Amino acid sequence: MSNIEAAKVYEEVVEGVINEVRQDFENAGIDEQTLQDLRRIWQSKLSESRVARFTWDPEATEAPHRTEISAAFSGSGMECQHADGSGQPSSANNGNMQIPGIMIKDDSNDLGGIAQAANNDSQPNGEKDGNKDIKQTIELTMDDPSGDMAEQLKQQAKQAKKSALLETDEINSDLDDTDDEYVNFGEEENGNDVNIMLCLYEKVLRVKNKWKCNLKDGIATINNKDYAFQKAQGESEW
Amino acid sequence: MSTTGYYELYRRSTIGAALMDSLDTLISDGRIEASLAIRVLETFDKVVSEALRDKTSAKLTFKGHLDTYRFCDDVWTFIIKDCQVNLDQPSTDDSENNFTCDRLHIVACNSK
Repeated sequence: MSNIEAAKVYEEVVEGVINEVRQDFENAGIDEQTLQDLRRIWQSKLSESRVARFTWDPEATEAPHRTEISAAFSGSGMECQHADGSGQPSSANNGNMQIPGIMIKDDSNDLGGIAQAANNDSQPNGEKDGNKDIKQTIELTMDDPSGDMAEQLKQQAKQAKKSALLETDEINSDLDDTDDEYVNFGEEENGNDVNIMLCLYEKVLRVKNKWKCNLKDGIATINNKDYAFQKAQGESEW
Repeated sequence: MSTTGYYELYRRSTIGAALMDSLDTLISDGRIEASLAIRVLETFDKVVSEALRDKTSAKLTFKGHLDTYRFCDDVWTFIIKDCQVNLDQPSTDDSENNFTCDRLHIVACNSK
C-alpha cells in the first residue's frame, strides 16, 4: 500500500477530533456512548470508502460489499419479472435470472419512456415504479461483473431523473435551454471529478502558457486512493 | 480553544465527507443537535489543518495539461488533464508512487 501516510494522518485526525469534541459533547449533555458511536460510524464509512488501509479495518471488507450489491440487483430483477408477467412472451434470458451470484442488467434502452412514466407520478423515485407503470418488455442480460453494476444503476437513475426534470420544466421557451445546461454541468462536476486535490497554495507562477504552482498541506483522492502530502509542485501547460 | 480561522475546504475530502455523513446519521436519529455537529466540523477543520501541517512529510509532483484555471475569492482552481503524479514519501517502495490520471481537480486556498 503506497498511501500509508494518508492512513496515518486520517487515524490521527479521527482520534484528535473525537478527543477535542468530548468536552463539547459533555457541555451539550450528550453521553460518551454517542461520541463512541460517532467514531465507530466515521471509521466504518472510511473503511467502506477503501481509499486507504486503516488499522480499524475489518478483515474481509470485500464480502459484505458484494452481497449488498447482488441483493439490490436480485431485488430489481424480481420487479422486472413482474412487469414481464403481463402477457409478454418471456425470453430465454428470464429463466437464467434466478441463478445466484449472477448480476442482472436492466438493458431497456428506453430511459425516456421510463422517465415519462415516472413523471406522471409527479415524483420519480427510481426506475422501479416506471417499470411497473408502463408494463413493457425488459430485456435482461447478465454479462456484467459485479463492479460495474452499482455505477450503472446510479447512471440510469440519474438519467431518468434528469429527463423527468427536463420534461416537467418544459414550457417551450428559450429559457428551457438553461435547465439543460445546468443539469449537464452538475453531472460533469459530480460524475467526472473523482480525482480531487484539496490543499493550500504558496505560489502560483505563469510564464506565457506555462504554469507552475507550489502547494502544501494537501489531501488528494486519485484513482480511489487517498494521499496526504506536505508539499506539492505542479507544472502544466495551458 | 479557538476553532475559527481554519479553512473548511477539507470537508470535501473523503474523511470530511465521511464525518459529515456520520453526523447526519446521528442528527436524523435525534441523538445530537445540529449545533453540536457544526461544532464537531469546526474542530475537524482545525485538527485536519494541523495534522497536514505537522504530521505529513510526503512530497508530490505532478505534470499535465492545464485544462482550466480559475482564481476567485483567493482560491485557485485547476483542472489538469492527462496528469502524471509522482509521490515521494519516506520508507515505501517506489513502484506504486508513480501514477497517472485523466483528470485532476485541484482546489487550493491561500496558505497565508
